[in-house]
Amino acid sequence: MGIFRSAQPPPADESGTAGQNELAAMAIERSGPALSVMRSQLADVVEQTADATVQVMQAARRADEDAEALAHLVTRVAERSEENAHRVVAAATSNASRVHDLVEIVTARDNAILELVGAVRQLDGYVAAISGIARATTVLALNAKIEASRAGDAGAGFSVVADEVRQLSHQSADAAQNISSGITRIVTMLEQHAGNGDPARGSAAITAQLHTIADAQNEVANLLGQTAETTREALTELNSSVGDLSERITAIVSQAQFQDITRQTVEHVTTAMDHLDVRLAVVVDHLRGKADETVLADAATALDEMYSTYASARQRDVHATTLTGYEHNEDTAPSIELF
Amino acid sequence: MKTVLLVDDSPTMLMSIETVLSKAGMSVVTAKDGQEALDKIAAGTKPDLVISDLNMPRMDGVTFVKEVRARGLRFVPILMLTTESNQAKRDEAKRAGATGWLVKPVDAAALLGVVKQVLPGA
Repeated sequence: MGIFRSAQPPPADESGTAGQNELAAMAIERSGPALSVMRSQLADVVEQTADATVQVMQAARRADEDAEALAHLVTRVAERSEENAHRVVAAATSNASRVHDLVEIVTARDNAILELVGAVRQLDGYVAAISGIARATTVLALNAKIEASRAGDAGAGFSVVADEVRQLSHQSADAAQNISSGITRIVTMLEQHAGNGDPARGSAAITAQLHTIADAQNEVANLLGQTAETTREALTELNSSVGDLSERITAIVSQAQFQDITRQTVEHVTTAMDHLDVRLAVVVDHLRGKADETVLADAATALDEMYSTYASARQRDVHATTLTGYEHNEDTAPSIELF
Repeated sequence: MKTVLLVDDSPTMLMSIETVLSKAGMSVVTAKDGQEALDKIAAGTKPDLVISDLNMPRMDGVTFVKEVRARGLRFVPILMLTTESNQAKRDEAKRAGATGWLVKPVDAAALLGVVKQVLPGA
């Protein structure tokens, strides 16, 4: 209500054409604030769409930057993953070589132990020979004792020597037996270290464990290599997606030009409304007898003036189509032209 | 990296076209009218390409083209990017020394196509 109801009607005693003209003039004047409000609304719409468009573009640019940052991050992860895979493969290869060396060392040690066992067993043969000699010496001492007895008093001294020889031969036999037992223990221990040919024991078991460790490390290297390959494929896919996204964002942002076109069109409409305001003031003056009829003729040119302010063919087409009632399509030069 | 001087009184146009060009690997310097663009040139900006609107406050696009040419930048391509489709205006810009005429809206691919045509290596 408010502003549209503020103007007062003409006095009751006024009548006839003058009174009607005043009523018409007042009605036209009352439309002035409405036009102002419309202009303000249009200006506000332009401002709001401009703000919204800038925000949309800023959001699109941030999304684009985030996508590029993500792609860079994945690239770094893929590079690191590939680098790690290469390192692990190199370490696994190096360890396999070391395992091979260790297996050779262990095998060489086994062979050395077996040679040692052979050598020790040979010693056992010598001990057997000593034992034989001891037994023969005992027999010899016994025979000497018998002969000494036959010799009577003359053989008494010799009998004592024969007893000493017999004791020495017994001690030799005992020593030989101890050496033989010791050799047997040493051989047993050495054979145990060599695993007695059992794959589950001794150095064979160590070798098998080393091979298991090397195989496990190769498996880890292969898995890491596969992970690096998968990451590389994902990166390729992601880069492609980021490229597509970037193109779409560019296309979206380029569409923001429509806001500028809309702004210009609205500005032209607002300018036309300003012109209309001036024309209506002239009409009001005429109705109140302050201007002659010639000023009304000028109003007819208002549309032509409005038409002349249009920048785009589309604006001119809409104008002409609205006035004539049938569709206009202006012949235009190409939208892109290099001189 | 090629430098493009972009002149338009519309912030949305500046942001839109700047985004398209910078994503294509170009360095973009913006100005909101012809006078500001001339000031930037005087301050040391050496554009490889100028893209300018036609209808702007303080200094319109055609005057701006004449001023750029008068300042010795005779071989820098200047593209007019405008909603104006009036042939007389187009001829006027051509006589002033503009290199080409693009009617808004122009999509990103078409714009970059023209830019690469007038600015080999961009």
